[in-house]
Parts: sequence; C-alpha cells; structure tokens
Amino acid sequence: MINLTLMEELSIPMEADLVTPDNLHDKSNDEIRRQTVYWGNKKKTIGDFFQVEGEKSDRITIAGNCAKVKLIGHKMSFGAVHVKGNAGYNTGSYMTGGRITIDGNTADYLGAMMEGGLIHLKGNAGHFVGGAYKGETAGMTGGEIVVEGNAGHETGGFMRRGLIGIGGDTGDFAGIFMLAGTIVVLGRAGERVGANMRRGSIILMKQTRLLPSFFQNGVVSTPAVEMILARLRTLGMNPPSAGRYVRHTGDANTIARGEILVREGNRNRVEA
Amino acid sequence: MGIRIENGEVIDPAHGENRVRRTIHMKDGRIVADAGLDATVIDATGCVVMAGGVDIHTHVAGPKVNFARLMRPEDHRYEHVSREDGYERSGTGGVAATTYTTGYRYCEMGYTTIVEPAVPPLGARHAHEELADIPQVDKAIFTLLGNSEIIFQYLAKGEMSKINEYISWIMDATKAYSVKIVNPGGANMWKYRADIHDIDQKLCDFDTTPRQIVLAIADAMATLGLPHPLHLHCNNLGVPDSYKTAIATAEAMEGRPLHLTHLQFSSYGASGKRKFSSEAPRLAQMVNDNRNITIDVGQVLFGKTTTITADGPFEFHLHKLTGSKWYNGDVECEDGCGVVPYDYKRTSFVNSIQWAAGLELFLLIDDPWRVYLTTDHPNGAPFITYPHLIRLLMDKDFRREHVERISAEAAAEIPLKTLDREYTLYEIAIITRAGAAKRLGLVNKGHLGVGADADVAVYRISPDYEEMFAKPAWVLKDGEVVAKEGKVTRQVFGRTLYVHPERGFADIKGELADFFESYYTVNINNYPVGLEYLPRPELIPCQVKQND
Repeated sequence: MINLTLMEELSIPMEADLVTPDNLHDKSNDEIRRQTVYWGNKKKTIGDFFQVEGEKSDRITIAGNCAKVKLIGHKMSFGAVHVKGNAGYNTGSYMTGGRITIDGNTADYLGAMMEGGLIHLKGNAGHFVGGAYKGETAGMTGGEIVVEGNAGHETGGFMRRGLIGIGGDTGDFAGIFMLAGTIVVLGRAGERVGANMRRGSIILMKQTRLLPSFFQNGVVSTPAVEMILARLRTLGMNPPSAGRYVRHTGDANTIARGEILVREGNRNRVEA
Repeated sequence: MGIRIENGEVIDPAHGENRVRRTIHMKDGRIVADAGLDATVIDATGCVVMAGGVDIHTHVAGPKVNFARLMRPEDHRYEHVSREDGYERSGTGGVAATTYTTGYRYCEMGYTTIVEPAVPPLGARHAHEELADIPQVDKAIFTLLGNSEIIFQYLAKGEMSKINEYISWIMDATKAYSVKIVNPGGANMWKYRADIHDIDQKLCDFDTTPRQIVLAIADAMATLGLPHPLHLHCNNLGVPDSYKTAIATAEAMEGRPLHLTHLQFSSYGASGKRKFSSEAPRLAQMVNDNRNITIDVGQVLFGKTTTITADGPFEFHLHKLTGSKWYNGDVECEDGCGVVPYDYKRTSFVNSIQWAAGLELFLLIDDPWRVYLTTDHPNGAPFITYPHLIRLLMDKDFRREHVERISAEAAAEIPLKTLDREYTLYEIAIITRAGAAKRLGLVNKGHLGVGADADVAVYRISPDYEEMFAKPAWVLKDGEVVAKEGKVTRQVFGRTLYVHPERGFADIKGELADFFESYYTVNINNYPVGLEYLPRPELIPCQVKQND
C-alpha cells in the first residue's frame, strides 16, 4: 500500500494526473516524492505536498482534504485508489480499469470520458458525472460509477456505454445527449431528464416531470432492470426490490430509441 | 556575426544543385558568398541542406479560423504547449492551433514561409492581427474577391478598368499579397438561395457568370502585375463530376497563368458502382498539357479535422451529409464562409478515394515545379502531417502498406495501386519550397543562392523520411538558429509580405464611398488596414505592364 497524506490544505488547485497505480506501483517512496505535479502555474513534486509512506504496491491511499487536487486516477488502468477525504475535478477521467473509492465528495467531471473500471463515491458528486468534455461527442464509454450521495447537472451526458448509479438526487438534464448505457437514479431526478437522448436507459425510482418529446408506451416489469438493480446492490447501494416501471420512449427530437423507466407509483402526481 | 553550414549536401533545385557538398554562408539575414572568418560553424555531416519550406496554402489566421477554434474545444485538449525554452508562449495545438503554436509547429518542420490564402477583405484586419502573433515564419494573405458584389456590378456594366482600380484599392486596403477566388459567384448566389454548378450559369440579380468573374479578375491581376497569379478554388468543388468544372475553368483561362488550389477536392468523377471515383489522372493530364497551370494538391489524410472554407454552400452540404456541427458566415457584400468538423475514415469508401486522388495527382503530374505539397490545412489534414505525406510520396512500399489498409472496395478501383513513382529528395525540395516560392513570385525565397533570405532547414538523412522531415537537425530563420532537432530554441518574428499596386483608385473613389454608405456596416475610412498592423512589413514589388 502506498500512503499519501496531504500535509496542508491547498488554496490553489493542483493537477496530480500522475497519482495513479500505473505510474506509482513500481516506484520507491523517494521516486514517488520526485514525481511532477502542477500547482497553479508552477511545476512542483508530490513530495512538496504529500507525506509518502508505505511500500511498492498497486494500491494507493490518499488522506487529507484533496478537494483542490485534480485528476486523481486520470487514465488509470489497474489497481486501486482510495481517497479518504474529498477529491477534486476530473477524478478518474479517462480511466480504463481498476477501482477508485472516495469517502468524501468530488467536484465536477467525476469519471469523465471513462472507458472501464469502477468508481465508488460515498459522498456527493459535482456536475457531469461520467460526462463528455466540452465539444466531445461521446462521454463515458464503459465502466461503472456509483454515487451514494447526490449528483449535479448533466449526469451521464453523452454517455455511450456503462452504468451510472446515483443513490441520491441528480440535478437537471440527467442523461442529456445520451447515446447508450444505463443511468439509475434512486432519488429524485431534476428537470428535463434524457433531453436529446438517442438510445440507452434511464431508470428513475421517483416521479418527475418528463419532456413532452417522451411518449409513454406501456408498463414493464423486466428482468433486465432487476439485474441492473442487483448489480447496484452488490456495489453497496440500496435499490428497492422488484417492481413495475412505466416506460417512456424518446427523445422524439432524435431517433427516439432511448427509454426512461419510471417506477410505478402514484403516476398521476406530477412533481413541480 | 555570420554562420557557415559545412559538410552538408545542398539541395537547391532553383540552381539545379542536387546533393552538392558545399558550404552555405549567411550573414545579416542573407545568404552571402563568404560569412567571414569569425562565423559560427554548423557541421551538417550526414545532412541535406535545403531552403526553408514554403507553404502556399494554409488556413492559419482570420475570422473563420477563429470560429474553427471556438467550435472545437475538444480539439485543443489533445495537445498543450507549455512555456519553456524557445517556446515563449503557451498554447494549444490540434487542428486549429493557437497563433503561437502554429508558428512553432511550422518551424519544427523546417518551414519558414506560409500563406493564409482566404481572407475576406473585411477580415483582413483580424487576419493581420493574428499573423502578427505567429512567430518563426514569414507570412502573407490572399484576399477573397470572387464573390464581391462591387466586382459583379462593374462586370455587369463592362467597366473593366474600374475592376482594376478596385482590386488595386483592395490590395492596398487589406495589405494582401494576391487574390484568391473561392467558388466564383457561387458563395454569393447561395445567399440568394441559388446554387452555381456551371461556369456559364448566370448569377441571379447580376448579369454575369463565373467564367467572366474569373477572367476579369485574372486580367486585372495581370494588369496590376501582382507577383502571384490567380489562386482559384473552382465551382462545384467536392462533389462527383467536379473534375469537369475544373477542366472547363482551366480551359476558360486560354493560357493565362492560373493556380488551381487543393485540386484534389475537385478531382472526383461519378463513375463506378458507388457513383464516386477518382478522376485525378485526367486532371494530371490537363496539368501536364497546360504549362500556364500550377496546382497545389490539398491531400486528404485520415483522421479528425475541421474543414474551413469560404465556400459556404459546400460546407452546408457537408453539414447535411455528416450531421456535424456547422458554422456559416456571411461577410456582407464580399463573401461567405463555413466551418464543419469532419472525420476522414480509412474504412470509408469516399474518404479512401479522396486520399488516393491526392496521391495520384502528386504522382501523375510530371513536372514537380507545377505541383506543390499542401493538405489545404486543415481541410484535408492538419499541416503537422506533412512529414507523413512526404514519406507516402517517397516510399512506395510504405504507400502500398497504406493502400492495403484503406477501404477494400476503394482499393480495388483506384489508379494509385499501379503507380510506382517515388519522389526523390530533389523533387521534394521543389514541391515544398523551390516551386512554391517561384510561383509566389518570391525571388528571395525557396533557394540558397547569394542574396536569398537566410531561411534554411537542415535535415538529417534517414531512410524513415517521416522522421527525417518531422525533426530537422537545424532550422535557421533570417540567419539565426531558431530550432534544433525538431524543437524551437529561439522565438523570432518573421515579416509580413504585401504588395502595393501603383494603379491607385482615383476614378472609383466617389462610387466606392457611395457603395459603402449604402451597403456596408463599416465606414470606408475605417475599412483599410494600416501598415501599423504589420509589425515587420516587406513590400514585394509588382511587375506593372504599361498597357491597360
């Protein structure tokens, strides 16, 4: 286990894209201390900010409030990173494998452009979970993101494959421009879920007002949904047991192959 | 203090020198006969020494390039340039790079002169502001005039001498180097919901045709004595049977000098099962037969890029075809433009044909002095791919490997697979510098004779031509070493080249003021770009003919 402890809370953000098992697993503690990080516009080293302990390993533990540390686990492909506090922007972006666990909260772009692996966030996420960077036409293309708390706007925007589970609420535009993949929201989803989605599934446990370009076409009870919920259960979430879902197809502004499944309940009650 | 480059093999096609082992002397920014005893010596053993590269057609500055930058934030994330030794400004690379990065990237490849070929007159101020921030290279702009309503009006009335005066004025007002025409009449007519498909089609509301526009402007340019002839992007570009329009346009010129730009995009026919084919052999034959015509290729290379052109209707069709993002611009009475991101895919039949058509043009045109290496940056590919393109031309085995990787259906049809020609280093020196400089009328560039600008690139000879041309051992600009081993070591600024036709515009002064008053958003007094926008101007003289 490699233990990194942030010595002092940062006021200026740091870019720590080299803090990944891929880069650190075969390095001694001294070598790790010499790895480059960018702090504001200055080139610094990991040793300037972190106490480095432990032995060579593909498991990294990061302690301290890293809310200003960006790009933890950027492009990682194996191993495990455990952030004991908060993490900053772009955590797990472009990740292809391995596992990131975050005990606190994260800022925006958690798992952006992710291709594989697992991110387990126990706190709240910022905007664009599993999203696409500005201008990109596809966001997350694989892997799983589990957020036990709430997520911000545009969760799973431009998502192409993979699974995002949100234990709490999401902001507006969950699944905007979604190409495929699955988003499960156990709490309350914000406005305009699935705007301009082409394919993919958004599974909502609570009623919300949908866009007029989604049309209702039946009530389903499908093993596929139960399998997805079972998977979330193994990842430590607490989805409800089997139930029936009202299926909405859309977005009719595109090819309308997407679906929003809303758990059957008091269907007539529309939340403002 | 001077510099001597010793032991290198000099390739200087303008003087017929092919790998001649001689010393190049330079002092005070010029090639000289003897740099003196105190000169610094560069030992170029195992290297070829060429003049700095000259890119005759590359979209690097001006309003539409800026829209391409704005439109593709994702493009900028692939490559960051940090401020470090030599690289005094940070920036982002990608297809539409920032100004400083553009200069650095050209310098890293050994290019020292570039031409931004499509600036609408109203965008000239913006273009010069950007050029002022492009380091390492000399630069120039061409002004777009093929859709100017002022010219249409004079043409309809048959007032040719007024066209001469207008072009004389506009060259001075935009501090341009030459004139480019894009889709003559077509880009303008598209604003009137009409599309031009033939060079003899009448423009609605204006009693003229693309043929008349092209001829009138070509004649005016000859009268004014502009150093570079008409730079033409044909009507009907990018569609099947576009080659017919290109040939018709070339024939219409009746021996007048003409530069057909990115001809690859005009080299498509409609034969074959898919109704899309390469007609590059016919165009190459046309170029071989007509000595008044030069071309640059506008090679397509696979990958993501952003297409930028003043051909508004073409970009609209491309947007409809791909569903990609689209920007359309209307430049008042002067022109239009469009920007659409595009991904050239190896697996696509059409893209594979495009890729092959460009290479066929290179390989089938016999005279390297009349074909220049471009990718129509960034329309066919970004300019940083030039070394790869050079290797495709010089190495037939490498080319064959790539033919095997394109769409199999296209590979079965293309004439390219039968072509075994390989460019020599001497020919590469012609198509990348000597020929282009000669056609641009730049007497001090593209060669290493005494008196030339001391812009030199020294390439370490290697069987991997891509590596060789990507990382020159030394690059010198104005007699100073500015890059070593493909890394910029020193930031310098080049000159902006412009012309000043002596014709003046006394006869049309009043009419122009009225036209501006009626139709422009800009006051005519605020319109011309002053010399203060050119930090290092260099006036290139016009060769004026006496008879009008």
